[in-house]
Amino acid sequence: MPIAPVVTVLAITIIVAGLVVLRPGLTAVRGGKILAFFGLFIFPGLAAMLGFESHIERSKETSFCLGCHIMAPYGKSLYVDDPSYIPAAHFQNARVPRDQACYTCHTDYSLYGGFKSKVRGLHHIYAQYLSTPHQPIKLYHPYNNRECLHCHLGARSFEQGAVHNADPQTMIDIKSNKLSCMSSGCHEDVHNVSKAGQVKYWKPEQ
Amino acid sequence: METQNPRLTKHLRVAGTLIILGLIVQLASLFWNHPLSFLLFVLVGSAILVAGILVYLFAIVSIPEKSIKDGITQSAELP
Repeated sequence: MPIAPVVTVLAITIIVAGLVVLRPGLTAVRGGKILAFFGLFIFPGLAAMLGFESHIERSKETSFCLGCHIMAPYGKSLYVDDPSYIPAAHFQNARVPRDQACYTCHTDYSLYGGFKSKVRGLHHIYAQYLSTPHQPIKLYHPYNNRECLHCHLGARSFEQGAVHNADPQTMIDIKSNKLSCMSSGCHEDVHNVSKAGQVKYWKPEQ
Repeated sequence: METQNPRLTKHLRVAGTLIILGLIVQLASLFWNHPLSFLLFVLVGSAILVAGILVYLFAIVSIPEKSIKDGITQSAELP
């Protein structure tokens, strides 16, 4: 959601609530009571809901994820000039929305997946500010093929890929998450931040 | 002669001030692009806002609207 409507609602609410604070005598008449009810109950509730929604949407942005210093190498890895790096290839070729790159691949595509992502985000904040993050950071669970298949399932390049179909069991194992997409010899180059100093980087044209 | 209950006036002012303060904190959090801004919004802004709303609701249900000048208060619902 764009921030402008949220700011407008917040500003209007501040003005209406300010009227009640400066002129509480207004509430002696029916119109004033209605004004106070909207200014001190309806509008603040609406403003809070819109603000919350705006924050939730903003927490999906790549810049939000990279706001923590510890994530900087992962953000840099999106610019690795090597198509075998899966996140970089997706980011640079706009296979994922660039402004929501982290969220697109790291949310759970399941019922309550978005909610679980937010809970994990709160845990990240706890780890960053109230605890000590593990170094190097790692996923809570092995990456689930479900997240890849959310987009690739049914795609010709996936369904008819020579390696995917070399053995009939391979495709079954991929789809049932028994064989990880990131298995050795498959799409194993993910962020690889430990090799950050040994790779070339793509510089997007301005 | 009837005037507005000063207690109600005071509570409305307190509620309004808390709500404005909470909204200002929420507004500031929207312009701060940082993971902590969400916590600022929820834990500080929304907490102050909810406190203000509760003060307002408490005031309108528990404080008589009118007061009689001689100090005896009277509920608005009473004839």
